[in-house]
Amino acid sequence: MAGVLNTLSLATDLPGLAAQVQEWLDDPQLSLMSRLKSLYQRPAVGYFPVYSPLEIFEAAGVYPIGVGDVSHDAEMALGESRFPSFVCSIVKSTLDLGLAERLRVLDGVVFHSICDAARNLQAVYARNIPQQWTDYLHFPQNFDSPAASEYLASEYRRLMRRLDAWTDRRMTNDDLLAAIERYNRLRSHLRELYRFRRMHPDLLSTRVLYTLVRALGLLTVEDSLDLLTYARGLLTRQVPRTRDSVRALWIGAFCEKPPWDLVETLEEAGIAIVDDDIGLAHRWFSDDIPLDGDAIMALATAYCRNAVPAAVRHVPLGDRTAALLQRMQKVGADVVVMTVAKFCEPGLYEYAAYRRVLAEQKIPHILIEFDEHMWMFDKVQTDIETFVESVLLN
Amino acid sequence: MVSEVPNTYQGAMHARQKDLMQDYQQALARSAAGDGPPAVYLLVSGNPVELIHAFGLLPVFPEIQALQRAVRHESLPLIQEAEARGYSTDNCAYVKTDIGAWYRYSRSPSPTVPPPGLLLANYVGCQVYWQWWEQLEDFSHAPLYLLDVPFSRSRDGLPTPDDIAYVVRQLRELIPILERLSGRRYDPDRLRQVLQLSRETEELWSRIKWLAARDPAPFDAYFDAATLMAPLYVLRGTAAGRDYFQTVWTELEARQKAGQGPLERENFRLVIDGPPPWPYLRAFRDMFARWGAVFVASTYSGVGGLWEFGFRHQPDDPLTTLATHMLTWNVPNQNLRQRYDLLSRYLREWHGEGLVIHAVKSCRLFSSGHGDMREYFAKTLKVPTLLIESDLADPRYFSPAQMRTRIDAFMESLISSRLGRDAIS
Repeated sequence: MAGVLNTLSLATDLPGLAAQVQEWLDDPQLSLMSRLKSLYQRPAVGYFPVYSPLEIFEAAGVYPIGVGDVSHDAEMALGESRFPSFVCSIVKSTLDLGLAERLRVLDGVVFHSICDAARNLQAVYARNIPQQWTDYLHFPQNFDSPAASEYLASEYRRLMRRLDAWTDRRMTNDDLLAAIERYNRLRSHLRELYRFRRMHPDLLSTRVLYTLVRALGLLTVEDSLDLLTYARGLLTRQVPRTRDSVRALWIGAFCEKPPWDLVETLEEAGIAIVDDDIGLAHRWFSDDIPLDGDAIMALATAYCRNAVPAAVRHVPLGDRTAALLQRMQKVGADVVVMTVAKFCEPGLYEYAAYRRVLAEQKIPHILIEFDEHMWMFDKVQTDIETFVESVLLN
Repeated sequence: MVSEVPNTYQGAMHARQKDLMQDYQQALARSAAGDGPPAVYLLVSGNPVELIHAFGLLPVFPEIQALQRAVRHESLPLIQEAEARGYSTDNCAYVKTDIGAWYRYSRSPSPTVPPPGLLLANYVGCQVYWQWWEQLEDFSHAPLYLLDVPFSRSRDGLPTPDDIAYVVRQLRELIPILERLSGRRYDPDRLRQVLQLSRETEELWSRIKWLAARDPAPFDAYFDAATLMAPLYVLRGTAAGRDYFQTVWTELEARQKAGQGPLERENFRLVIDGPPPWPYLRAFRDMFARWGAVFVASTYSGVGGLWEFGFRHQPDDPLTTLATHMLTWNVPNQNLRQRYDLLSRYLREWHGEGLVIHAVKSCRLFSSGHGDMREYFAKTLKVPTLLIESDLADPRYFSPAQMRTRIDAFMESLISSRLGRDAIS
């Protein structure tokens, strides 16, 4: 490891590494981020889930931090006071982290148009935390129009101009291509890890994979690559755990982070997760982005043409449900576990559509609503155990 | 100061509106029966209804139908029908009212409403719009065009040249779709004529809204304005619509000159943010009316368009003016800081004494950040502010006793602060 990770004395087994990473993410002072920022000697820019153009941050020489990846387990009085009760937790917790000055490591935050609740967060955040600059990207939704990718490219160029002015440097096309190449490699590593988990869910638990994916929100792309390379080296040391389980496609937790214990509860109850949609910021593209020509146009076109399924991106429902069934077949999933964050409208609309087609296809499925601050899992455990038993016995 | 003051004013404008909307309903019914132009389903926010009229097509606004069902107390069974099919209690109640109706009638949301010939998701502000239209596409198998309008991002709210070019280019893509649906060639002159009629309607609507800045306001710019919104959105761009708003203007101006307001006496002038609780519209209105409180300005009356600050459609540049309207001159596509500025202006220029923030569960676009809005107005601007919560179509979220208690407490606090000011002076 050439990056800063070799200064962190990483654990030498996967469960130990996951526990260590969880400590970084759960640290109320978020001290690792401050330490990394001084080591990187880069300004830090936060980004909101689900997706953000990390390649542009990398090319601009800034340290990108996933504000949705850090844990928030404290009282949320500050965030709660600014949003109604029926708004999801991640909007409130992000503002709460800002108001409580836990995100003081950030110099700016980039928000975008993933949903109506998050959309207003940018204005509230900007008003209350004026010492950080904010920006807001409009991600297009009209993917039938050739104008969409050109428009997104113009949005990216607007962001680049702002970052250039702020960092007092000028991003070149080569900077961007180099950044895309690094993130292509990172996504390739992730695809390999997901392929491994699909084949050996007994050797790579989702609890561990989820921790690693969230850790990427704290690291630069080079350190992310180092972390994943290191983690892959530990896979062979794992001892398989034999138990009755059902192979599940886990969807719905694409934005607000599910609590660690929720993932553990699913797996302990006998759910062997073989694919999921967590950590989409680092997994947004299903194939590599081309490394020639106009890098910004390539990045924008990939967003419009080459993105993984997500509830926050318009796809006709017929195509969306067909893709779900194809995905189940591809990963060999027998059931669908859908966890939707409380009050998450995009996820809840998607569930209604999926429920119809899963019922038609007689595919077992279960819905669990969660909140990132959820702390009691007895009911979830009972529901999931009953679900698993009913699948195994039938 | 509390008195039960019924609002029973019925003028020529009300009779004319009833006739016009009946005509529209009949046109819908004829189209549903196969005798009439195809229907284009579109959304209220910053709607480009002029383009639909220019092709002789029939605009259908499922939001208006959902709210009408809510007013008639018909929404809850439909909401429950949708919930039984997997839609969440946390999904928008307009959407569920509509989807429940689709499950009930299968071909369209009502036997007297035609099925869509085109689902035009004018995605202006509200993300749920295109998610709703995805569901309708699945039910109806009608083609969907998602007209993607970038959200206002800058502090001043001005769109970038790229924003305008993107929307114009999509409008150009939409035109051949409308040509195929209507069987008519695109006629820019026809669109200019429609836009000219819109422009005249907008001028009248702007003057009407400014009437409420006078003392007393001749109408309630929330409750009465809301009832004027159906003709404003359905008939804007038609001569009938323009003539109707001429009637409204003439009548309300005369009432204002005669010192007549919506209540016997205007004791309080308030400004409000958020949609009305349609199932309890009358009760909600009475909770303020009993204190002599009149809403002199509301953001809700600007969801389809904001014309009181000078914007008018420009017939000489039809597509750019449609894009500008959708991008900038409507409340849903403005960011929250712009909405704070808008409310401040309403309070200042319409002489509002207090702000009511009505957070509705169904609409996160309107409501997300309402706590911060209260913080800003109450603490930073020192404006008496009331934050209340319910819903726009789901009656289960409206608690009359609790609502009344909170409104009464707010009104009493307004009286106390007046008394305090009087004592000091």
